[in-house]
Formats: sequence, C-alpha cells, structure tokens
Amino acid sequence: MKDREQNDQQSLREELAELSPRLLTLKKQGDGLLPPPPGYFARFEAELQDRIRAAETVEKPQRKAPWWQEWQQRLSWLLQPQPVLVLASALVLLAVGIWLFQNPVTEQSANTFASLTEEEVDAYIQANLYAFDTETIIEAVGGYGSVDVSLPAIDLQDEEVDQYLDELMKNMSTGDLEAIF
Amino acid sequence: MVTDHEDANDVLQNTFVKVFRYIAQFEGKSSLYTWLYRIATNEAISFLNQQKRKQSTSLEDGDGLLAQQLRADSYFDGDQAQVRLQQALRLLPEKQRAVFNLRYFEEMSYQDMSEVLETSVGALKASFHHAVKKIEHYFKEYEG
Repeated sequence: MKDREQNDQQSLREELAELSPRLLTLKKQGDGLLPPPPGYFARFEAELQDRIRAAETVEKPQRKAPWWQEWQQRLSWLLQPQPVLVLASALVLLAVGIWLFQNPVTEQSANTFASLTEEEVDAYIQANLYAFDTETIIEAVGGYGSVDVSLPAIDLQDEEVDQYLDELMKNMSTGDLEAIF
Repeated sequence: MVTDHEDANDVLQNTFVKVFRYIAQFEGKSSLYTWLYRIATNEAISFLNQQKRKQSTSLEDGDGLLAQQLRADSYFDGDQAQVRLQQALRLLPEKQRAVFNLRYFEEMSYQDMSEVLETSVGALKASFHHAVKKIEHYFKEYEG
C-alpha cells in the first residue's frame, strides 16, 4: 500500500515537472490547509447520527403510499362536494324545472279534466269560448268529433264566421269538447 | 473542492449520510475507498452547483471574495500563491476541478480516479493536462 502511494506521488511529480514546474513547487510547499480543530472527528460522529435521525423523521411521511390508498384518495375526492359540480347540478335541475313548468304533463291534465262534471266543462267553455283559437277548435273537432266542421267554399265576413261557430258549438257534444282539450 | 471549513463539514456530513443510506447497495465491484470518494466528489459537485445558483457575483467579484474568505479562514494558512491557485481553480468546470483536485491534492492514481469519476484513464489524463494549462495561463495573466 505504501509502495503504491509512493508510486502515485512519484508519477504525479514527474507529470507536474513536465507540465508545470510552478505547480510542482507549490505542491512541495503544501496545500496551505491546517488540520481540523481538536475533537472534530469525535463530535462528527454524534452530529452525523443526529442528522441521519432528522433525515429519517422527515422522510418517513413521504414514503410512497400503496396503490389502494391512492385509489381511495381519488374516490374520496370524487365524493367531496365540488363547487363547480354543485353549481352545474343546480343549473340542470333549474332547467328541467322550467321545462316542466312550461310543458305540463298531458296525462296529469287529462286526469284533472276527467274529474270534472259535464256541467262544469260546459260552463267553463261557454265562459272562455273567445279564448280559444278558431283554427284549433276546427282542427280538433274535425279530427275527433262526428260533426262536419268544414267551412263552405264561399267568402264569409268575420261576423258570419262567428255566427257559424256559435251554431257549431251548440251542436257539439261534451265528448267533442273534451277531445279539444 | 470547497474552500471553506464549514462548507467542507457540510459536504462531509452529506457524504456520510449517503454512505449510511446506500451501504447495502455497495456491491464490492470497486474498492470501498473509491466508492467513498465517488460519493464525496458527487456531493461536492452538487454543493458547488447549489452555491453557484444562490450566488450572482461575477468572476472578478468572486476572485476578491474568495481571497477575503481564504484570508479570514482560520484553517487556511496558504501564501499568496496558494490563494491565487484557489482562484484559478474557481475558473475550472466542476468535473475538471474534481479531476485536478484528486490528482494534485489527493495524489490519486489515474486508475482509481477512473473508478471514482467513471471516466476512462485517457480522458482523465487529458482533462488534468488541460486543467494545468488553464491554471498556468491564469498565473501568467496575473503576473503580466
């Protein structure tokens, strides 16, 4: 071992003598470093152990979680209330509510209508006759009733048409009126 | 590699923390001596890179700063030429500085250096040769 060190030193000196005599001279003078303070290596061991313990304490919580814990975290994230998702759900519910309000369910309307008596229906129609669109009345009665509601092929005034409709309404049965609604 | 006693202490502690952590992975393909040197050299280079990122001083300012630090360092007893050598070493890239330090100060053989730095012997000889030439050039510039 000592022979090897001497060989290394010798080869370095030869190399420096060839490359840079100045550095060889500096080398012979020493590197200018003083030895460490007394007791340095005795304290070093204790300091090192403290540092290793501190590093282990910091690193323990950073260990990689097993795969099932990662999935559990993702699932719990999905179950947590997310403001954007809550807002989107509320908007969807609001839109559905508005649509239902504007388009009431036909079956429900039919059930409500079926609970009325014929007299009540007649009274309602008479009271609100002018609220119905003429074309709708003609179309509905023509499609469902047995009464011929086709208009004569002549030019009629509005008053004549109204009179014609009045006569037509008088001839309509309750069933025909139900079919309109 | 580092010029300050406290910096050297930090690097040494980091080195032994790594040794403690990875000793089980030491396969004995190289000698323990070169394995320890490899870790120490890597730690020193990492430390210098960190220092470089923190500091924003120019090379000229750094020269003056280094000279002041060395004169104030109670563990450095070098003369002006030694200070000048340390200033010249600052100009070398970290890897080349490691090559120079291992060869010049540690008097390590090229074969061992090859294991420590994982570089071919030929490349190490060339790197040391260039490092010496750069240092010579720095000395001459300073004198001239």
